[in-house]
This record gives sequence, C-alpha cells and structure tokens, in this order.
Amino acid sequence: MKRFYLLAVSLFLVAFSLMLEAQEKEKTNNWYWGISTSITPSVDTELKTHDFIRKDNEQWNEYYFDFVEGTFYSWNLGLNIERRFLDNRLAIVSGLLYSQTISGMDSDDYSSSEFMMINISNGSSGVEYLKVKGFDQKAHYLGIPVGVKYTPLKDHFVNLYIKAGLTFDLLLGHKINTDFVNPLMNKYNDRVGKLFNDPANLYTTFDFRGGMKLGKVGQPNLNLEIGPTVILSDDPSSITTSEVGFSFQLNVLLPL
Amino acid sequence: MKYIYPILFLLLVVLAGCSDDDLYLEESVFIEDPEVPGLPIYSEYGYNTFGVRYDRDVITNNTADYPLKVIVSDGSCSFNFNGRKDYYNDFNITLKLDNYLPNDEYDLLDLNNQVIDLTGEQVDVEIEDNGKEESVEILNGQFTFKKVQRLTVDEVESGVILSGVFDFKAIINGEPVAFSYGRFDVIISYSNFFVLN
Repeated sequence: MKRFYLLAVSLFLVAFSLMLEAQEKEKTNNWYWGISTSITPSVDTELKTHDFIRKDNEQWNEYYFDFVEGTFYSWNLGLNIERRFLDNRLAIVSGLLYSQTISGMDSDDYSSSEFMMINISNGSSGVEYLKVKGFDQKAHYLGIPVGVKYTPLKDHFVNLYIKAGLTFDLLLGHKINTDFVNPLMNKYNDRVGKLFNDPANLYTTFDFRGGMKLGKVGQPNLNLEIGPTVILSDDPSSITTSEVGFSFQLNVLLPL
Repeated sequence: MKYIYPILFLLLVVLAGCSDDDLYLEESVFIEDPEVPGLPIYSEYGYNTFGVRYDRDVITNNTADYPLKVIVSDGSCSFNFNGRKDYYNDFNITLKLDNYLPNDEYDLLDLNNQVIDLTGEQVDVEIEDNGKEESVEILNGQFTFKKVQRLTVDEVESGVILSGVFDFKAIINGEPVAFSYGRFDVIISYSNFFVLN
C-alpha cells in the first residue's frame, strides 16, 4: 500500500510541475467550477463476523452466510473546482464532497430462519437474546478529492477523457438501525448499535474513470464518468467489508 | 393423489405449531477450541454443545440429538449427555443426583456455581458406549456448574442455560480411563426437561 501511495504522490507531483510550467505560458483563465454527484455500488461486499450474532463463526454450519445477505454502496454530492492546462488537455481537479456510505445485513427471505439472534447481555440478569431481521448503517463523511484529468483529443462538443484521483473522507458521524422482529424491541436500537465497531474515521478511495464531456471549452460542460473505485483505507462500514466498487458520476462545470 | 392434500394440510398444521424460537435455539453453535482440538470452546451463551476427552478419543455432541436431557424420576435427577465418540459411535454420559428434584427447568438455577464431587454417596455416573451400558467405578473427579442463568428472547423467558466443566477418572470394564477437559453449554427448556411419574 505504501508503494501505491508513493506512486500516486509522485505522479501527482509530476503533473503538478507540468501544470505550473504550462501556467506560466498561458494567459487565459482556465478555471472551472461546478457540482457533482455520484453513486458507487460495491462489487465485492462481504459480511463481517460479530461475536454477538449467534451462529457467527459457526463451524458446523458453513452455509450460514448464504442465509444472510450484505449490501454496501456510497453516494456523494459536492462542489468541484478544476484548473485546465496545456491547451485544456490536462486538468487538476479538487473540491469538497459530502459522502454517505450505506451498508446492511438482512436475513434472506428464502432461508429457513428469517431472523438472527443477537446477544445483548451476558451478565448477572442472565443471557438476553433479541430476534433481528437485519441491520443498516449510514455513515456520513466530508471529503476532499484530488485528481488529474487528461483529454487526449482536440476540443469538440462531445469529447472523451480519463481521470484518476484520490478522495480523503473524514467521518462526521454514523448511525445503525436494527430491524427487530418484534417492534416493541425498538427501544434496544441504540444499545444494539453500540455492539458494533465504529467505521473508519478516515476513508480513502482511489478512482480511475473514463468520462464523456458535452460542451466546448469556455462554455458550460456536462460530464458523465464511469469507472472502478478502490477502497484503500479500513472499511467505512461496521457491518460489511468491501474493496472495490463501480462509480457513476454526473457533474456540471461552468467557467469561472 | 387425493391423499396428498390432507397430508400437506397436516404438515402445515404441525409446522405452524413449532415456534421459530425453539427451533433456532435448539441448534448447536460449534466453535472449536484451538487449545483442545476437536472439542467446542467453553462458553456461556447456550451454544448447545458438550465435549470431553476420553483418554485420547474425543466425545462431542452431534447435530441430531439433544446434547443434554434433564430427567427427573424415581427420586433423582439425571443429566443425560448424548454424544458421539470419534464422531461416529454413540456415547452417553449420565450424571445422576439422588434426592435432587427440580419441578421445572427454572429450579435448575439453584445449581449455579455448584461443584458436585463425583465420589459422593448421592451421586452416580453411568456410561453407555455404542448402546452398551458399561460398569463404572469412579476413582475421583468433579462436575462443576460454573454458571446457570436465565435465558430470555425478546424479553420472554425461554429456559435456562447450564454451563460448566467436568473431569473424572474411573475404572470402566476393569480398565482405568480419564475423562478430561469436559465442558458443556446447553439450553434447558420445554423440549429437554422432563419430570416423569
């Protein structure tokens, strides 16, 4: 992982020095700003194991996880700023993003057991279990993306580009909601939430995307980007684990 | 073909009569003890497991039988541990306590933190190996109910959890043997507590 960070930082520094050099030659202002939104469903979600869920770590019943499904995806909304260089072929992009990661664990409707048993107490009052259909968690992050965009072709109304970058997200807060079999048990929601570990405080992703731009240089641009997202940090979820997602982003850029 | 519908109806009625809770809690959760391979870990969560080393063999519960039945009859209370030796042969160990007569499973809470000396006069141990009752002479050993606690599911009382350890030496059919690292963690509820006569 350290090598990856070194490579990413080196590439960024090379691109940045090229841009500074180009900036001196150019006289036109190539600043753009805009808004963006994206959604990134995970392609490799797996459930974490938790000692308080009965049958987790079960060794006889290897198929337990077939009965329980996990989901993880994230979406974000943000402000973007972009500085273009080298005749609009190269750009450095940044901004401020609000991201939300959403993860969940649900009993499979087709399984023999349509609920899980969770142990909330093993003290002097005895062992207390609660029947639960599933959990979901929303974690809120504020992040700064840093990336480089390269457009290999000359400017046209419709053009293609590639973009690579890192996003550093800081955890603002999170909440776990439990779907109890008996609604009267909803009063235990906070207590159950505290049984889980917190999601990662710093959530870092690497994106590599291909994009299509509608709009000419110096005019408003509408961009659609798709590509893989790799999670480089600890999990931004207390329930699931995931390493790779596939992102769809839409952004609008206006010249400053 | 005309008989299939009544049979299906009967099946539905029987299934509807079973509580999901009971079925779920009757299952065993086997987590192997890394320090004593083959045996379940010692736990106090009602994992419905038991295991013991019998010389160099391993005896553990299986998924087909209740790991423990508590039967009160003829002035005594029997704790019948049903297991398998080396995973194939039936092997049952019964601890019999004379003059201990619980009325229901919740009376077993009195056993919390109790140590039973197996050489005591009011204690008997019976062993059945592959359906054959063995003659047993206890040399020494004890049975410890480390924790006996109430089990609730969604705030409803659903039985008690018996958790403990045991070990003993005995002469079985003229041969001295050792039972070591014994442990159990079993839910006792309506389905495996019986008062006879």
